[in-house]
Amino acid sequence: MILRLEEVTKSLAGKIIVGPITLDFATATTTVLLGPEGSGKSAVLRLFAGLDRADNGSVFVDDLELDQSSIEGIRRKIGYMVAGGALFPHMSVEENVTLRLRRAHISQPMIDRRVADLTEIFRISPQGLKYYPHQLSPWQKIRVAMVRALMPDPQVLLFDDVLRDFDRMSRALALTELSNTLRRLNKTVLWVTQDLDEALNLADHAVLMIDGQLAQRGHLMDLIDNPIDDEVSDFMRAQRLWLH
Amino acid sequence: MATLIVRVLRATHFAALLLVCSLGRAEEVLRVGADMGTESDVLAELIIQTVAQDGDAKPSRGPNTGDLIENTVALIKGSIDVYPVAMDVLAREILLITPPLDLDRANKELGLRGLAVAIPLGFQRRYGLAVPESVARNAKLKTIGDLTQNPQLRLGFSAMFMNDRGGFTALRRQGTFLAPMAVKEMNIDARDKALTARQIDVIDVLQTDAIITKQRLRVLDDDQNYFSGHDVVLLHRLDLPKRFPKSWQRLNSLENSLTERTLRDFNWRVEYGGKKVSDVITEWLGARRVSGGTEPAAAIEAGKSAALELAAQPESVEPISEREQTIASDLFATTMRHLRLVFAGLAFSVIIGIPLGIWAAGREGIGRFILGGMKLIGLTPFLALLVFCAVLAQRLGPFPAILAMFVFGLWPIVSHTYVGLRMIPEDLIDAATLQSLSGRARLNLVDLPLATAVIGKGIQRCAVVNVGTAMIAALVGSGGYGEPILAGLIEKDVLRMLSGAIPAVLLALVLHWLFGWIARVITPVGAEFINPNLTR
Repeated sequence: MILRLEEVTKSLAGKIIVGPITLDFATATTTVLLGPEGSGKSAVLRLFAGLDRADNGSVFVDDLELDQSSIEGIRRKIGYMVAGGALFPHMSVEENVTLRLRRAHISQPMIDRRVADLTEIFRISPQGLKYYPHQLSPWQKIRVAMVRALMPDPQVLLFDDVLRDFDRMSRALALTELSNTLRRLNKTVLWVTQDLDEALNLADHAVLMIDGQLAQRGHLMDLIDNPIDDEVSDFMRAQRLWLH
Repeated sequence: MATLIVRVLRATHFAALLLVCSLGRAEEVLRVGADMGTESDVLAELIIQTVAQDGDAKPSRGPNTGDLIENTVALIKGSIDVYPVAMDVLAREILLITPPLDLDRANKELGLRGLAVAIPLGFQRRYGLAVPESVARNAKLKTIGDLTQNPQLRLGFSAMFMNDRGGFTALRRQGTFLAPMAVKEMNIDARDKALTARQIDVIDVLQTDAIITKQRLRVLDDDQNYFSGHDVVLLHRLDLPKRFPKSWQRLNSLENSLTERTLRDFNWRVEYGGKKVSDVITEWLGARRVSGGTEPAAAIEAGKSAALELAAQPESVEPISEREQTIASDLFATTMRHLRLVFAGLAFSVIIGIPLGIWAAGREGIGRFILGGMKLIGLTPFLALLVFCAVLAQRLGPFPAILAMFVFGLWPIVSHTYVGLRMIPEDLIDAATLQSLSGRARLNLVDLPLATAVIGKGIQRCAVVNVGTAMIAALVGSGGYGEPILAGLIEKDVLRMLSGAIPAVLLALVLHWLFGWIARVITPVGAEFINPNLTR
């Protein structure tokens, strides 16, 4: 189990947004985190990324408990992406993706090789490396963000609703390309979305969260066909109305 | 504060007088200005009789007697030509600068107004503390310091002395020994009566005061140099040496001719000896001519050559165009002074404001507290701030001006820095954290580059605002474009006013453009896209 939450609670401004929840994810699997707005899916991702600290309970990454001393080591094992890519606007694509390795004093040939490998996978031309974020399309931004996240070769990739702002057409194209690429990379992937269509394209397994709690986990079709309670079936039915 | 209000009132008074004093300048007559008071009468009479000896002008007393400001206005307008004045009074009351003042500096400041100072008469305006001889003997008083041993002595000081920074303040600044003693402030008549009745023991005097002789006072040795002496000189119209070269030469013979003791003697004879001023002077000048030796020959020679030199200058230049030339040549100096104010204030605001803004932006509670404090400063009317700074600094001139501009400039700098850093989107801050950037690295690589455009706006704003505030700062004698405007207002001289107002507008535009350009150049490519509203 590479990612694990044990009896974790997290509150924001006095309101509990996650937990108490116990949850784990196996190595090299792709799981979709589903749930309505405010169900705490993104908060779970932020806990694993080390951006927020749990109020209670423990967060484990690769069997290491996440705390002040382990956080820097754990960050290298995790790639985290948000909608829009969160690229630094004052840095070129190349500067954005190499910032971390340059600061870690990795040798330039090694950085170059890594950049070459990843840009090939994500179809970024050498010319494109010179561009600035404001010159990129939304899908290009996400690809650059993925290159940046993959530079230190993390074992885990966390996607926080990255296709949120995409229209249907570009979302479909992006999903096709992404699911192929992710299969090739063979990482542990956690994909947060509210969109069942998106989920069905990417993964077989899903975790449904409602009100910060684990509502149901299992095969996606199971969630649709055999919801364990009314809340789950309500959410799934709403999604399917959307779908058709 | 009170002094400043008095100054403003005086300036208004000054302007009103100008309207009254629109009398044309009387040719052939050399008019001498005087205050009320014996000493002023004596000096005016001395000048009149000296010029009358074989001058090229008919000397006479000016049309009226008034205070320093009225006489200065009369000089500028040409209704009088010469007026004796002490350098410290001139500095404080007319030039609004802190004494000491030397002749060169004074002439530089006065030149614009068509005035000059020359011919130190030899004696100085200097304060002293005096006690009756009997008291001095009993208490064994020789020096001012000896007063410390006699805390039972009662001090009675004139209002003039109490309010003069070269007077009571100077005494208090250098020693705290007066603290336990009772000091009474009274007007001069009351003071002199109280001394006669032995209700007080120690009074302030000027070294030339007749009361020293009259009451047989001992002037205590100023062993600690509490009081500094200031030359009494002739304040005159710049054209006086040219118009009356012979009279000017005669006046030069008065250089260093008087001592404090001589003048005290004059004052005593007039005030208590029942003598007429004119008789006292005639007698002294007669004795001086007979003895002959009291007139230093070198001074006469110097006076002659100066007079010849001045007489040799072409007279064809119209006075008005002379003034235009002065204004033009002065524009450069005024601009430099203004720029110095603007940039000094800006530099301090930036040096202190940016780190303060960075510090505040990183701290939730105290950061907002600091921002609130800065806002309070920013909302303070600048003139009020200027007054606070002048009061706090206990002086006038560029120092309180720059201090006020520095403090006033903190608000745009701190707020822009704070806002620039605070408006960096959360996801970029998370991204920086995930890239293991923290503290200083994050500040240098992400926060500051992204906030540069906004901070640049703050600096631009501060620079442009400083152009305006520096003009207000002329009220405390900082110099710069405000100075010709104030002088022009007082003298009803539109050209002078515009010579300050127009360059100020241009400077504000130039600085706006310059700092806008700098901000664009130093903003990293792409950084403006975090908030496109700010690009222009």
